[in-house]
Amino acid sequence: MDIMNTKPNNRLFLIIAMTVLAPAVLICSDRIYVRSAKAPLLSKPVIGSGALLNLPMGTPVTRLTEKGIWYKVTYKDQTGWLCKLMTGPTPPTPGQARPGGELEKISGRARKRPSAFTTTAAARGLMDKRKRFAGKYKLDFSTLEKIEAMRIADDEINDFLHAGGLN
Amino acid sequence: MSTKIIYSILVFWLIAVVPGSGETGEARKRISDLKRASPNESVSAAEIQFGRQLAARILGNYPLYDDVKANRYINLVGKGVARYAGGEIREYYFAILDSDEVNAFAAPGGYVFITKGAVLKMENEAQLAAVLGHEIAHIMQRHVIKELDIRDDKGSAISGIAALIGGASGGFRETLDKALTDAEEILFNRGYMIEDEIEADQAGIILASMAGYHPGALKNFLTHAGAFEKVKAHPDGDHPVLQRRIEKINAVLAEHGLQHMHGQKIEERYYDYIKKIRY
Amino acid sequence: MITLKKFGISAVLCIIIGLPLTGYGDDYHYVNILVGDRASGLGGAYTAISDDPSGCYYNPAGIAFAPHNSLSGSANAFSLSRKIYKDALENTGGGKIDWEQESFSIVPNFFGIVRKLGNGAIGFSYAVTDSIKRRQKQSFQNIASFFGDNPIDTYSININDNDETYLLGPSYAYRFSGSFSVGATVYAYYRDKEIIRNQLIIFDQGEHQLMNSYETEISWGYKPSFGVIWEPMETVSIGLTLSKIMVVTSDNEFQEMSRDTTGYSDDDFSDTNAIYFDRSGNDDTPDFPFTAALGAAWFISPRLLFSGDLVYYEEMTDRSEIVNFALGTEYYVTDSFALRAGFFSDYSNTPLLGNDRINQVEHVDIYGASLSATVFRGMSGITLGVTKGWGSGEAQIVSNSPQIQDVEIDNLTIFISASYSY
Repeated sequence: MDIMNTKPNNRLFLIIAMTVLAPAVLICSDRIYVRSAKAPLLSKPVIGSGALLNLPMGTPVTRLTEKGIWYKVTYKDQTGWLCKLMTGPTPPTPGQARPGGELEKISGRARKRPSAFTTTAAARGLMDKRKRFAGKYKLDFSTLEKIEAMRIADDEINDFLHAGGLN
Repeated sequence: MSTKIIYSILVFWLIAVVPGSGETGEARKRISDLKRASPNESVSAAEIQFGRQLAARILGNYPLYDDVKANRYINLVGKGVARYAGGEIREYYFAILDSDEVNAFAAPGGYVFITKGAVLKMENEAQLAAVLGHEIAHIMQRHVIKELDIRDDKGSAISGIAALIGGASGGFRETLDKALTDAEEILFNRGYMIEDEIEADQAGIILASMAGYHPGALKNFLTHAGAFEKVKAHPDGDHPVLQRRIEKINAVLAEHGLQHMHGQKIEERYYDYIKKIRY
Repeated sequence: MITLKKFGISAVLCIIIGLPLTGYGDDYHYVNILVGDRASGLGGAYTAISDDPSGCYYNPAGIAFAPHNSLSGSANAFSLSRKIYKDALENTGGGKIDWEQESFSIVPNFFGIVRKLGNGAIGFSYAVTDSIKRRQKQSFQNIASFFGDNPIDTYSININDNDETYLLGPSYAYRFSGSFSVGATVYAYYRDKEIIRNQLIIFDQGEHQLMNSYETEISWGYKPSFGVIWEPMETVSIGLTLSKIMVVTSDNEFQEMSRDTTGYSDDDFSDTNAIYFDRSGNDDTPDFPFTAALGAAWFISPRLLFSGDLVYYEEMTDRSEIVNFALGTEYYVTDSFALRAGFFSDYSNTPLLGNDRINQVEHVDIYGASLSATVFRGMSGITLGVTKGWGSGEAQIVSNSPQIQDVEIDNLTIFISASYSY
């Protein structure tokens, strides 16, 4: 059967199906994301080499190849090296507010039965553990909240680093 | 004519695809699979909650060294290094514990503690940055969580934590308590796996170096002060473990050409901020 | 297959109504239903991928590469098939009439589960690889007959066909190294076929011909399937699956009833007052071809892959050797939204029709294209897809007549599926 003899609507279906995929090749190559607050795109895969630009958190870049702890990436019209520690395969999640006080339920997975969980020390027995450590640990959330309350603005950090001749 | 269009698209397709390089490793995994391995928002929140519980326990064992200036200082240094850290945690907190032990603790969710004893052993800000970078790396690489090996029906360890946090019944509480106790055991008694310690050394050096600190600072501190964390007991004792760590650090410095890199050591500012501890 | 010629109604221009409908319960084609969450969107080009529950069907070796435990199910939520026999009938004015067959069905066609087990994996799946649900009532007026002075006033056909093939069974695969695995599936095979046809011809002069046929087949057997997957490079996978359906028992029954008041029938059925009835049965087991599927997949990146399959079906009595192909591609527009497209062939296994011969089975080659989209949320994914098939060929639907009709096929299926990893 010759494709040319297919009905027009079927040919159109085929053309649409294949055309839709073509641009995807250009936009959906190996994409990774900047996950750190600071991510200098370096000219060489060497710490301390000149930074071409600083990429903000969440920036998608196209990974070309890798060498050691470095990825060679492109961003817009720039090609450079990005440290693997600063990247991830998915975009960063939004910043989390620190909850206060005792444990709050977060996920909706409460349906799971405790029997679904195992730990490496399961053989020691749950009750044993509780007896051994009951009353042996104290929780100090008030001091923790004091630590969390120490907010330091980005500008202050910038000034501090700059004053020390740091990056 | 339509056939020509179809063939043209096919050729364009092939030309566009051929130069693309494939990912090494587990090429079969689709991005949706990788995203599952990388926690989502609720899992990050669960990690922070778990870490808070652990941090509260650490503070239950060790009082805070209540010097605002010194604590502010280590936050400035730590947050400066943490800016280069990827991973899920966006905010790190640092505090000095009032203990003469030479020790440092990292709780999941971004909580880093360093003892007064450890601070006193340091010679400059670069060494502080290196140790804090090491602890940040423990958190970034989820060493404690992985060591706990909490599995949710063969899922990832971090989703196991999330599910525990999400659990409502008493059974969940008991399991969570047990997990927290195990985490304390790792930090206070059992120690990290040597491989995790080495991995944290390497990542910590890179983070601190990226921030501009002297790359050899961690090695200098270890040589000067010895180990500052619990590492799993080695049949040959602590010294070979420390020796192995220093060998690996030397390899990292050589691999990345850092042996001769001038980074900032910063002694004057360091002594200025922690002088109350010292005197 | 029931034909009317046995009862002498071959003297009348009428349609052999024992023909299968395109796309389902179709013994003339091998790709009757695409099964599987991901595989359907890829046009069935899945032999070298198969790393999820659909792998139990396409290539059991693939489940050893599954990244997670998972389960998935799919259903053809809307399935419309049309086959048009061009100029099949002629009215008394000399005009030609197309005979159109249409069927609509909803078929839950696949469910499977895979669980990783050390270096291996076990699976269990259920697949409906063939399904007919055809209910049709058609009536034609003023049809020309072979007897010029006695045209057909009314020609009425009722069809009620049900024909499903089920596969159900376990799978196991073992990964010998990072790049090589073998696997096997043993399906239990079950086919339940019921074909009911009624045909009434009322002539202008008042006579009539009536025929009712009823055919059932219940078959049991098994389908062993053996697969291997080899990854010569990290981004390339090659797969091979060998399989064959073995029917162990088959219970076939035929029943036909007819009455002809015209006197046109031959001697055996010439009594215009008689109702002829025949009932028979046998346990002849149908034969299925040995099948070999060879596939390749290129995992270009975590977002983009290409796959292709060639599937060989051996030659059998009255059935030609066939090689079908399938091509597919999948890409992730975002981290949680994937698009798939596929293109495949479904060639007829019957011989080409020849001139000056009669009572030949039809030959229609079909091509298909598929598109699907999956949205991922957490550990689950939901897929919506569409498959379009089209084909043309020839048929000889008039009994004892050398006339050949052109045939066109048009299929549309909308499928939905869901998967969950754990």
